[in-house]
Order: sequence, then structure tokens, then C-alpha cells
Amino acid sequence: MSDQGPKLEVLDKKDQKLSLRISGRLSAKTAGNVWREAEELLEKSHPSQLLLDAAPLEYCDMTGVCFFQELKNRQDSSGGTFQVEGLSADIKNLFEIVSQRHDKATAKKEIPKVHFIEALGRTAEHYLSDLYDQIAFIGEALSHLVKALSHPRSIRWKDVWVFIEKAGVDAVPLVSLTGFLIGVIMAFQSALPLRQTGSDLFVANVVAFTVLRELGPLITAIILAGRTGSAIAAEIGTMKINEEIDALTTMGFEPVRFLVVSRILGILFLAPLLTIVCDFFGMVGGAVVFRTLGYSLTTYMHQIVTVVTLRDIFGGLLKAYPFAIAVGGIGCLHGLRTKAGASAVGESTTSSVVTGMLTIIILDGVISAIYYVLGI
Amino acid sequence: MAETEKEKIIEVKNLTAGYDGESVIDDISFDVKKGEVFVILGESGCGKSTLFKHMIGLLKPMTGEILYEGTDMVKADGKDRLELLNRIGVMYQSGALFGSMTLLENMMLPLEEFTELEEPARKSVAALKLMLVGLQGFESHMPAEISGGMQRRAAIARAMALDPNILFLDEPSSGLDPITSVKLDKLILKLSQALGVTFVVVSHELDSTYTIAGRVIMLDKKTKKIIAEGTPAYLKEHAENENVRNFFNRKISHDEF
Repeated sequence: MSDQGPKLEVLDKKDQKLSLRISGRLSAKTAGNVWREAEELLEKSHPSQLLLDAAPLEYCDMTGVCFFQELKNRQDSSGGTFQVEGLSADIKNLFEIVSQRHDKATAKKEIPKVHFIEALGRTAEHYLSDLYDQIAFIGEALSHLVKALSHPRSIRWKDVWVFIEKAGVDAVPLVSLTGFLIGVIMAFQSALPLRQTGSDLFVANVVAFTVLRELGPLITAIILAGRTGSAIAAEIGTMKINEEIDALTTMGFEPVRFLVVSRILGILFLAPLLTIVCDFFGMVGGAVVFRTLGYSLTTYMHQIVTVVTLRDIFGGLLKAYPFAIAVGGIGCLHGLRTKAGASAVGESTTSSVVTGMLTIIILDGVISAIYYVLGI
Repeated sequence: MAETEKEKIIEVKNLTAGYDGESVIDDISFDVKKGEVFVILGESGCGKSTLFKHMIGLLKPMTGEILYEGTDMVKADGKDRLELLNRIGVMYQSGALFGSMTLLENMMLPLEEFTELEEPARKSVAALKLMLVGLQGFESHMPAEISGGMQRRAAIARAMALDPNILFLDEPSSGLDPITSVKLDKLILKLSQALGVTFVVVSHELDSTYTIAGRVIMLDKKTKKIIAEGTPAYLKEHAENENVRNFFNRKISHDEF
């Protein structure tokens, strides 16, 4: 359609009286120019009387009516009058409806203002209730977990296995590759300083210690938070906005037990296994670099076996459990707290990953301090 | 007849449509006249929504043409298609308001993209249209914070943002209480009379159909054809097909349950 833009002409400009004429086709697509022109005219002259001749208009739609209303509003607020003539009966009728509603709407409009201190209080309250929710949720989830474990028949094992396959087996390639690269990187980074003192034999010790005690469990947990925690939050969040969680509740299920227990059980099972995979490939990565330094694999094995104790291995694996509970619990919590709307799912996914990683690092710090005190 | 004198705004010619090679609608033709409220009726699963999605260009038909004042929606692409799409407004069954935007932002999105209005002008156009559907004071609410009926009205307002000549409504009153539904019908009639907008409504609500419809077509699940066409009052009394009369009189035939 070739919409020809409407034209605005000044017919008469005397004292405080401004007469305009509008012609052409006034529609949403074409109203931009006349709207701007009219506003400029009014800005300049501030007429006490504005007369608009709309008889030559070929076409006028809702946006046109909005345009008339805008002119009327401007005149009203500057104490002038506005009159439009020559509108077709339908458009005139519509304009009247719009102005009546507009007057009613503006009459009862009141903008509530929020004081700074009130805003501060609200924010603080928001964060505190957030914290309260998290603590309450951990309690609820743990009590359900203990109850479920004492009645193993009540657990939906099928869900657990499906979850383990999705979150565990499918994550093996990523975990092994990351573990391998971490081993390679650690070996290269430690080789340089150690070689300066002629003790590059100890590259094996460095790799074994850091990977088994620290990096293996930590990297695995971070992968789980990014891969599995986010998936849990997105899945449960989508269920929430589809009212599936409400459906579960009214069917008599407790959503926490139904959704959370199987996932936390699954992640508790697979986190140590994935950590072992990561550990193993980390050592393999270290071995590859060790070979390029000119030592044999036997030397590498010998170095590791003589310095690494079972305490180091299990100390590292033990960490996987609190990490797993943190990742699974936080994913479920953020999923269940999803508000309405599609963007809410994105928000819960993001916040589950952010909170998950932060919690993992904090837990790791606390555990390291405990291990140090206990001499593990 | 007087009807033929009115200008045709949409012509559907020999449309066959379906999914994965299996047709849901088989070779149907009809046209919609300028300014009327045209209702597509039928029981669940008869292809109402499929027809609807073809008319608004979301799906490509297996064969057939859908002409908007002579331009084929099926063949149009690029600029022509965009121009066609700007002439129609669609209200989806669920509202399909963008959940991350306020009502006002929902309204302003098409205005921003397709008009030359400046920001304050866009705002007042958007606010006035929300007001027209009775949503003054809710401009800065998120879609999730308002009731289902209000979402429906906001969706109509958004469909009207660019002042299209044709408004498509997908089951506008399903799931609404009778009072809200009557209000919505009145809104549709008022808009149709005051603005001369053509309405194409998919519905299975009889009450609302009686109120708003100028003309209806009824689709049939078994034959995949149009089995009735006319005013609702006429069809209720005089339709040749028993199924059509049953539909309008809320009856089922003996062998069905």
C-alpha cells in the first residue's frame, strides 16, 4: 500500500488563535511527521485557541485519534482550548470515547512515591527472606532425603537412574577432557620453576597432590554446577511456570520430595564417580608432560605411589559430597522459586549457576581449613 | 445479494492444508468482506487453528491461495510480506504478551520498529490504546501480574498497535468468565463499528458468536470441508446439515458420546 503522508498547513495565525488544516492519510505509519510539526508549532506559539480542520482527511485511524487527543492534552495543560472540525461521524464518536476515558483516567491518577529509606528496608527484607528461604529449604530437603533413605522403597528409582544417565554418563567426555587438560597445565606450570632447582622429578608430586586433593573435586563440582545445576533449575522452573508443580501439589505429592530427592540422590551418587574420572585423566595429563621431560612412566608411578596416601585420595573424594548437595539443592531451590514468565526461567538458571559456584568455593575454603586443623 | 457488493478483503481459494503430508483441511474456499466480523466455528480438532495459522501466514499451505486484496500471502516475501503482516494484527489464544516487558513496552515495540513516531508520541499512542481496552493505570504492570481477562484485552490492544485493517483473534473469550467475555464481545463490536476494522475470529463459544458474528463458516472434522456458511441465526434454524444444527443447538446425535 502506498500511504501518502498527511500534510499540516497553517491557515491562520492571529493574536492567540491558531488555525490548522490537516489533509491526506493519517495512520500509524505516517503520523510521525505531522505529530512532530504540530508539537513544534504549539511549542512556539502557545495559542489560547487551537482550531484544526480535519475535513480534507482521506483516512484516519486510532493513531490519528491519539494525535487529536495529544493536541487536546497539550492545550488543556497550557490553559488553551482545542477544537477539531470536519471529522467523520465514526471518528468523532471514537474521539469522544477516548477523551472521556482519558479525563476519567487522569482524574484519579496518583503516582505513589517510594522513600529512599523504605526502598532500603525493602531490599534488606528481600535479601534476608532470601537467606531464610535457603536455610529453610536446605532443612526441608535434608529431612526428606533422610526420610527417603530410611524408606528406600518410597524413592522413585527410575527417576534417579534417568537423572544419573543425563547428568553423569553424558558428562564423562567433558569431565575427562577438562581433567586431562588440568593435568597437562599443572605439569607444565610446575615444570619451569622446578627445573631451575633441578628437581623436575617432583612435577609428578605436584600434579598428584593438586589434582587429587583440590582440583579434581573442585573442577568436577564446577562442571556439575554449570551443566547439571542449571539444567535442574531450568527444568523445575519451566514446570513451575506451566503450573506442573501446582498439579503435583494438588495430586497429593510433595514437590520437594517428588522432584528434589531423586535429583539430590542422583547427584550424590555421580559426583564422586565423576571426580574419580577427573582425577584419573588429570594424572594421565601429568604423565604425558612428564614423558616429554624425559622420564619414564615407571618413575612417574613410583613418585606418586611413594608420596600420595589413601588419605589424600579419599580426602578429595569426600569433598565431592558437600559440593554435590550444594549444586543439586541450589538448582532445585532456584527452580522452585521461579516467578512467572519466560524470562524468569533464565533468571533462575543464571542465579542457580552463580550461587552454586560461589557456594562451592566457600565450602572448599571451609573444608580446606578443617582438613588443615585435622592434619588430613 | 447485498453481500457480494461489499468489497472482499481476504479471499481463500482452494486451500488444502495439513501437517506432514496429511491434510486437515481439504480444498476449501471462502472470502471475508471488508468491515465484517467473520467467525470460524467448529468442534475441537476440526482444523480451526490450522486454518487460522495459514491465514496469518505462519504456515504454508499444501496447495491453494490466500489473497489479501489481491496479494497472495503464500507467495509474498521480503518487503511485500512485511507490508502484508503490518496490515493484520493477531491476538493469540494465550495472549503471547512478552513476559519480560511491561504492558506499555509490549505496545511500544511494534510502534518503535514500524512507525516514525517519536518516543513521547509512541508512549501516548500506546497508553491511549491500552485505555481503549480499559487498561488505564496498568501501563507499567508485567503481563504476569494481571488477570487472564486483562491479558486478553492487552493482547487485543497490542494487536491494534499499528492500526491494522484486519484483526485476527484466536478464541478470544475461551477461559473467561461470562461477564468478562461479554465485555470483550462489546469491545470487539465497538472497535468494528467505530474503526471499520475487519475481524476474523476463531471460536467455539456459541453465545459470543451470536453476539458478534456477522457471518460464520463452520468446518467439519470428517469431511475436512466447510459444512455451513451464513449468519448464526439462520444456521441455527435452517442449516441443511444435521451436525450444524446440533452444534448450534448444543445437541449430539444418537450414536455419539
